[in-house]
Amino acid sequence: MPEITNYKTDRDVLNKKRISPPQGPLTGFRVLALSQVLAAPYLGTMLSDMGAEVIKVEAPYGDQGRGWPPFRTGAQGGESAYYVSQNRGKYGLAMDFTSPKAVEIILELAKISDIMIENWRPGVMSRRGLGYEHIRKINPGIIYTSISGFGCTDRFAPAPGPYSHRVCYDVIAQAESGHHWMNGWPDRAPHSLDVPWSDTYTGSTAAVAIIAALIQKIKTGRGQWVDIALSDCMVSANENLICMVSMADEDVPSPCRNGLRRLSISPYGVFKAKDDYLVIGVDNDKRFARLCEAMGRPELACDSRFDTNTHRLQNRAKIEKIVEDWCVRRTVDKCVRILRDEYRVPAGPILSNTDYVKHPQFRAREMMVPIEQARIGALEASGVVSKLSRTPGKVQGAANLLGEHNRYILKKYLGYTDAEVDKLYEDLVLVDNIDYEYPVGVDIAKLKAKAKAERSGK
Amino acid sequence: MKLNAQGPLVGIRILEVCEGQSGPYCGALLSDLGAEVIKIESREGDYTRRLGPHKRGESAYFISYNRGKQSVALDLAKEKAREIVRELTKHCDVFLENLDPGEIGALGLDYETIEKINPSIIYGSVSCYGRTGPLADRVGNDIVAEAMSGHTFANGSPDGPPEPLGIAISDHCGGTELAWAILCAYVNKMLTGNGQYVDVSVSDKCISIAENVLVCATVGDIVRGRTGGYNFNCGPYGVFQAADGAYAIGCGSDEMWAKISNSLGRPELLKADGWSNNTERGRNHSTHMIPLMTDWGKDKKRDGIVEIMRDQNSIPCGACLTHKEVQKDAHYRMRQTISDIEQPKAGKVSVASPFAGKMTDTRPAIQGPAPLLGEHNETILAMLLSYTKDEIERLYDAGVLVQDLDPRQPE
Repeated sequence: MPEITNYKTDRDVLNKKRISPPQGPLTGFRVLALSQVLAAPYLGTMLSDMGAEVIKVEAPYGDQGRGWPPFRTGAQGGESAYYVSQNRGKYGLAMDFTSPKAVEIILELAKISDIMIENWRPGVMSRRGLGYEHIRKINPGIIYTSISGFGCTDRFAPAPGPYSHRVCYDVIAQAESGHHWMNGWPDRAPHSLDVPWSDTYTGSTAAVAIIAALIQKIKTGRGQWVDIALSDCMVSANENLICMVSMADEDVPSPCRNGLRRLSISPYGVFKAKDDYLVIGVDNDKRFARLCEAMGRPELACDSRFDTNTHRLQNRAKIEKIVEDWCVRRTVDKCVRILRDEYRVPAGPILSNTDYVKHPQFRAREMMVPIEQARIGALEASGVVSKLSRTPGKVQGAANLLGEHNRYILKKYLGYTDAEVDKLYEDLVLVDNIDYEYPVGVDIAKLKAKAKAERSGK
Repeated sequence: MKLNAQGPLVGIRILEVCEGQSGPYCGALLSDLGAEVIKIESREGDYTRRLGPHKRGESAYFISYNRGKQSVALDLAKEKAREIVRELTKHCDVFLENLDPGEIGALGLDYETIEKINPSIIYGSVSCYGRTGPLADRVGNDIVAEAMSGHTFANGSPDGPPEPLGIAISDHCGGTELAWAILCAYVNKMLTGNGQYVDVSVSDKCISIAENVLVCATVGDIVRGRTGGYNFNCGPYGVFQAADGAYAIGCGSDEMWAKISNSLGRPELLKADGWSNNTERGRNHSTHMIPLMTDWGKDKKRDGIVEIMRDQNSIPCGACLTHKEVQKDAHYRMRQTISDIEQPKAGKVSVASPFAGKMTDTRPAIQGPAPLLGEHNETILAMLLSYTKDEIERLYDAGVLVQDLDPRQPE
């Protein structure tokens, strides 16, 4: 990252312009997010897209994601597009969590929030005086959501388990849920999935839990603690595999990864065409019959070797070779035109990220949404996934700079005056990086040492 | 079999006209949270009933996605059957469908029709491409959605072909997104009384869920290719081979590398060229990390490695568990992420909870077993539509209602 040089930004313009009025079914609900990296920020974005007001609180060193690629450099400095993509449409506060005053401010904000989310390691929030046991006392109606690797350990936790103390990243959750085991080739070591699915999938599960708890809250006024673990979520995304092994005899080996084809359905997987690869997914007999017709081999549909999925699995090498022989004589385009467009067989090209961002389908669905980001100008981030006919959500705007809305939020919700906010900045309770050219965090230890030196100098 | 509902959604009734994975997963999730789910099946039933493996005629697939629901089976080719389904929508808060494009309309169960019968209904649709856009009328499923959204392209090793994800996680994501969207719409219904149409595309969700992959394309035109599952920004981060299995390790900092290099008995690598810096190690997975870890692990047992790394040195490390191991795991059992249920024919089987979250006030729980085909025909028609025994009998005679309480295993 380049050397940091300071410049002056018009803070008032930043505060006013960046976020447009929300719309969507959650308009009017407030979320306090002590979130970082991926799982909880993705969750916050889902809530924001549906209209909630999300206030993100960062420590002075900032969300780690601010340091992750890709970066984009603009007229006024650079920004991590990684951070922007997971945090667009949020307000941002930054404060020194070790200061009692900062904890007090967070508690005051928790009092007026409907939902609180956090993904610090289990126990950290409690030590700060911000655990569920603290928040429920001042706001019993709050929906307090914790995201962790293996679940929460606190004595109030809904379901502590023996691994709850373990450190966990996405890669561990994929391993310990069986997802690695099924990914790759049977004769080689398995490998990680292409992206950190467990983080974002867990964020999505948390969103469901929160909204269900919100329904309960609207009915009864009661809040609760929602505990979501990466490993649990990945276990739940295991198709039929858990049930399958429980049905099998002890001596039957556990199902194993199967290279280019899915294990328990055929023909289902990646197939080679003349110019590239494509996917074909035949999951029922009707679709198989249409595939046979598309290949000009309608008799195969009632061939006793292939007529049901069970029979196709028994003869999978044969049927998969027939399909591949048909594909390999045609281009991907041609295969897809015949299979998908003419014969209604699930099939498609294998697109890269640079392919799909140009695809008319995703353009039509507004999956790439332009946002105007401070420092770097316009860029496209991912859009609102669910399309609601009457109360559609929207991307509320840019991502917050570190501490960008300190003054705005404290004045608006907690009645602080400008002078009081200035004092909090002076005392290093509040920090921001608005005058930095690059989106880095603030080294609070250094600032404190400097302030101390100045005081003793006087 | 009678179901036991508990959780925040008790009192919400859902009519599910779905088969396969995405829609049924959404229904199962909402059932775990307490909603009453009535699954409408055709004469042949959800096709996953016929997908193996089976135990005494019951399919692991079907059980996994449909436990805790009630089944009403009808011959949907008959107008009377469709009329009954339309009647049922009057008594439901939510309608779910995931049929191939055009099919729900052909049954006369499209939103325009249902909305006239029950204006406050929330009608949720989940499909491969969504119900708008140039591909809206094309069929697709999980494997197509993963391929369209860049995941298949990026899964696998750099020198090999693109690989499908081993497990159809995309459908789980699509089903979860639909549950989220439906409940958002339900909040709006509680506040305003209005229903609406909710349209979820599994491909859209798969794009949104992929970390920074989209912005790599829009901001930097950076192709996200195959990395063999290794993180190229830090390392060692990925899966490595042991003598009897594989394990995952996640090193995100130089401090962690100090611990790892020590555990490997190679403390000198902490400061060595090409090894000392996190970004460098990420970039050097194939030249440095994989050979080192493979060589070190080749004569060591998987669980021994995990013990050294995780338990003795607090390094983020875990075993790549098989599903047999996951199914028995004490932690998942204790958290009720995996539990045993009693199926009417198959007996005791294990299932993973579609809803994986834990809550203090309104605890979610599995409501009961997966239904046999048409198991709840009588109950639902009598309870919701006040059909008499005779009327129900006549519907069976006319072939409108269907039931199969003694499924046979397909050969």
